[in-house]
Amino acid sequence: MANILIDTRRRRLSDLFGSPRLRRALSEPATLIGIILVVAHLLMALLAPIIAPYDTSALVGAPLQRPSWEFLMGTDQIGRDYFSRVVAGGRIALMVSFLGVAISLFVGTILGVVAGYIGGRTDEIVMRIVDSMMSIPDLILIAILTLALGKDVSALIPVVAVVYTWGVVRVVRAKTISLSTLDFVRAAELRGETRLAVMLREIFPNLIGLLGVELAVRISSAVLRISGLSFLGLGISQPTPDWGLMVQEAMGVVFTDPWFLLLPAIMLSSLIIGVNFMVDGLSRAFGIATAELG
Amino acid sequence: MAITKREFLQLLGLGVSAFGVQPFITGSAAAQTVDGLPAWAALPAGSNPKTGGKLIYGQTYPNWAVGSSDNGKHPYYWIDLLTRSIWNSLVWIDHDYNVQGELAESWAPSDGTLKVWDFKLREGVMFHNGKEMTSEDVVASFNAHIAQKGSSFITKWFEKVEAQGKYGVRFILNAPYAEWPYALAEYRLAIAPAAAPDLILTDGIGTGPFKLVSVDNRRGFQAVRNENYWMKGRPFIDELEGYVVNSQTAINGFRSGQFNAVFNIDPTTAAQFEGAGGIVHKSKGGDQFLISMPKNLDIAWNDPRVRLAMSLSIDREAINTIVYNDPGSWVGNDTQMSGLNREFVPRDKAFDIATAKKLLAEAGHPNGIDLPPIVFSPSFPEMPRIMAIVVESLKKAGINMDIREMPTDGFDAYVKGVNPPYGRPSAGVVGPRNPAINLGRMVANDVEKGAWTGEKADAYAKLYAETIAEPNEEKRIGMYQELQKILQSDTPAIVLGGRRNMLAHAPGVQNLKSHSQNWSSRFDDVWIES
Amino acid sequence: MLASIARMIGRRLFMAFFILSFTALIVFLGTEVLPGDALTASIPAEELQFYSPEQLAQMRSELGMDRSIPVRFLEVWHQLMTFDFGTTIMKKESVATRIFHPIVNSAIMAGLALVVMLALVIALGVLASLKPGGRLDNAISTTTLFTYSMPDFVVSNVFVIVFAVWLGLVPAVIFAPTNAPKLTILAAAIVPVIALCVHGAAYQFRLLRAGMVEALNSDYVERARLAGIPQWRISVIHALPSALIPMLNATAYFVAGLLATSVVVEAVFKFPGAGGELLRALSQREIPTIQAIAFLAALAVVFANLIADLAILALDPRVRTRSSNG
Repeated sequence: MANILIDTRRRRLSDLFGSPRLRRALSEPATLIGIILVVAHLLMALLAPIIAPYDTSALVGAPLQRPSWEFLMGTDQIGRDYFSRVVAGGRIALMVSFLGVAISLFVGTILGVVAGYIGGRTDEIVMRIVDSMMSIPDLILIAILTLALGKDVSALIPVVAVVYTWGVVRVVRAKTISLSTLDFVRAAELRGETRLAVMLREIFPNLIGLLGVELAVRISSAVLRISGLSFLGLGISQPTPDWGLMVQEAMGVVFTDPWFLLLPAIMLSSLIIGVNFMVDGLSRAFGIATAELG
Repeated sequence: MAITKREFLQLLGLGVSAFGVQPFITGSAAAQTVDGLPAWAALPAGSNPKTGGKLIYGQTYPNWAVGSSDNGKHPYYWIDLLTRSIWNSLVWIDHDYNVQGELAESWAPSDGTLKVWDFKLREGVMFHNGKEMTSEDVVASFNAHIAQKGSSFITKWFEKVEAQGKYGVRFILNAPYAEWPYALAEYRLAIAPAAAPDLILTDGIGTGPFKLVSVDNRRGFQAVRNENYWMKGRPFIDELEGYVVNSQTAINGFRSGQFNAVFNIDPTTAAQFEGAGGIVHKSKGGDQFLISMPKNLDIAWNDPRVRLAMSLSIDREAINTIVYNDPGSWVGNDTQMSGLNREFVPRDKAFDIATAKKLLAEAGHPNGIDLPPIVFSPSFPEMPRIMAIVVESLKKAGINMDIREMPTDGFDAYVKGVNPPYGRPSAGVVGPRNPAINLGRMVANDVEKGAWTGEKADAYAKLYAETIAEPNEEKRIGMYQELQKILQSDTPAIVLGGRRNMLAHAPGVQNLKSHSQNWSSRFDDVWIES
Repeated sequence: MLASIARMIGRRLFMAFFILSFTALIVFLGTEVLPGDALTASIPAEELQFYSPEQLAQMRSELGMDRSIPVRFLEVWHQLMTFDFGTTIMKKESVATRIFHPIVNSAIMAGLALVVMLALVIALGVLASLKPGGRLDNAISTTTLFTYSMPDFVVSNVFVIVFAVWLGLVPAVIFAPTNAPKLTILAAAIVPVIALCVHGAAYQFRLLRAGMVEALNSDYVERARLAGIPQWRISVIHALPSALIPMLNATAYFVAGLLATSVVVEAVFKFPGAGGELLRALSQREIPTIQAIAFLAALAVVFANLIADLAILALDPRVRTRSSNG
């Protein structure tokens, strides 16, 4: 991260949701659209079992039916309700991404703060590992880890965690270094607080906004990668509904039934657009510089 | 049934078929030729084939062995399984599962022990390098196939092969095998010019209808007409090209006019080809999907009633209809036999949820049952859809069983990594062949038989050994049927359904047919209308 | 001065060595802690039943799969670092020969993508920064966000349908063999590269735009503006060089992302590159091939980073006097 804007004010948790900033952010239509999309996606993922009129794996009608009142988005190649599958198609990927990214944020923050604050040899070692891990293209790394850990959905969580930790370390370390030079950190050090206390009480609270951005951005990136993997046949597999898998299936009937491709593609894109618009707007409002994209 | 060699030869000489020597002279019958062609190679009545043109096909089912070699000129590592574009084998299995002479003109066992088999080769067959094919080449090719483990279906019996003059070879087996010729039709068992053991089969030279120009075994090949092909006047097309592509790319390539044929289309995609003027040809059969259930662990299906209940709950007709759009087509009976085998014995009633529930109740599961998950690797594109239908139909009978898709990589190791040698419960594909190979699997294949033991398993193994040693074909048919009845009564494995192999071609392409044994497809009888 | 540059390059090379060694370790651990092994995966299931466990064990020991992990790692490390990628598991054919053309083809595609993308990103970045927050800036920023949000596999498929099947401008299936003349490969790479740019340009664009905005707000640009130098000249000659630096700093991340996306794009276009080779190797557990491709991908990233560092050195004299901070 090259250009971290430095906010010199010492921040506490309660300041984060300072309402004028939030209001300013919400006044921008793109940010508002982003937030609405993200909230809609979260609600949809959480409530999928309630929203979906049919069991996602049940054969409820003749295959490849056109949309009707009975089947709002028609039926798929084996006669499952497509609406139910579209609604649930992001659940697993989102859940896996959320858990994986949460782990990577936890580990990445610890490594990043320690490397950035302690510096010296520790920093050197951590950063060389980060450089190495980030030199392997993420898809190749995911593929290799999937080979090692198996293709089970639960195995994808550590895979996501391993892949996304290093980017977090980089960002957190950069921010920590810039924070370390600020007066309130210096003051705490002069008060004789331990390094651990400084890291926990002075530095960490100031990272929360950044971590929020990281969480959203990395989750959307992970969802995109997982669906890409599913598309290539390396990720989530049948009968679990997944947008990447649905795009792949839809390609087989794209010339006769193009909406099978459009629906999951739109769902996937709207999630990513939503996250990016939201993050863009909020980080601008809260002065968290970021150029990273999900 | 003991018959001395002398008696046997006498019978042969008399040409009497009442004693069941029919199978042995089938080979001779195939030697009859029409216009210098074997009878089986005749074109449909009224055809008026044109010469010339180029067939460019897409293939969605690659040869999985390709990745293990860079030599695409070796038949084992040919880009797809359709090796008969460049090579020939001694025999070929026709669309009705009969053995037909390809490079062999006729064959017969030399005596009633069924351990010595003589093959008479076609004369005047030229390799692409201009050399004539002789017994020396056939002997060298088979020695290479044994050394390189070309086909598991012959290694178990093969003892040695020797030349009998310029146009004859003799196979000597270590046990009687009445249906030996059938096993020689495998796509890998190509005949190549004799060469040193490390060179033979590596140069892409065969006797087939097309001469290889170039091959990139990761992508495709180009070949041109073999002017000296042993079938006079064939092939009709000048050039043949094939490319391995996935299902979507195949559709795109066909619709953009780059391909004029696509092999092994995903049945669901048929409309994408037809929508662009394509014609879809379905074979009568194809690979079958089999669930193997290890019975050496403490699982409810150790009770044969549970296994039968599972089989009776599966709505195969839904698979026929939804996946293959072909109701009433496939029947099976939980053996590796399909309705296309003439020895096939159907179950009385294959889909019967009421009986299934009753059987479950009798077995102590009146409220349904949870079974361990079955794993599979999706070698054909429609397989995940078939498994989804099976899971749903089992659910309706109160049987909860997950069928999980696993990556193709390491699948076999994953299955066999536990519970050796039977492995974990899994679903796999079984190629359609003759009863000797089909029914032999429940003796030889540990995974498929899944620790099937007990009186019935013993009786089955014993009867199988007797059957393939039985020279009388009529009797053999009866014995094969008996074997299937034993399997049906104990259901050691369950067959979920069977494929219909499908290909799509442009309207100008004539006589291109999908073969139930995908690997037995031919190109020497195809022509293109301008 | 020259000595400090040499020292920096030396330091970079040493780091590159460390990174590649560590990469070798990761790849080795990932591929060798496998649940199965490569041998059984390469024999067709139908055939495998007739091999006895003893036969398989013998084949396995011939392949060296029964030795201790550190010994095997040292071997793998040594092989990778000396570009001796060993032989394929089943047929013992040279991996290097096998992947040479795919790697070159992918390098051609990635190289073309890099050039096209840089040109595109610089053009867009300059245009957007002419009037930050203006209509053009908003249009470009929003559009790139939209294109970024379209999954690469969807974009590629739609491109094939539109450009090949409907418009017939390019072939839907690239028939060119892996060892085709490299000009043919270059021509075949054009549409895939456009698909790559649709998805990949957004990230670089945002870095550049941020850099441009910052540079345009600096004092010396203000002075230039007061001196009456036209805006486009200020943007291109005065702001752009320093604005490129943050973008170049993120080169490793960018190139790694480009290579990852190109695996997907290659698969859809059937481009004869390393991506397809990697997917095949993955599905067959052809471990030496996976190791070689992953290692070469990391090498490409490290190399690109090295070039970027030199470019930064050329663009920003201040860096030369400062000690490198990694």
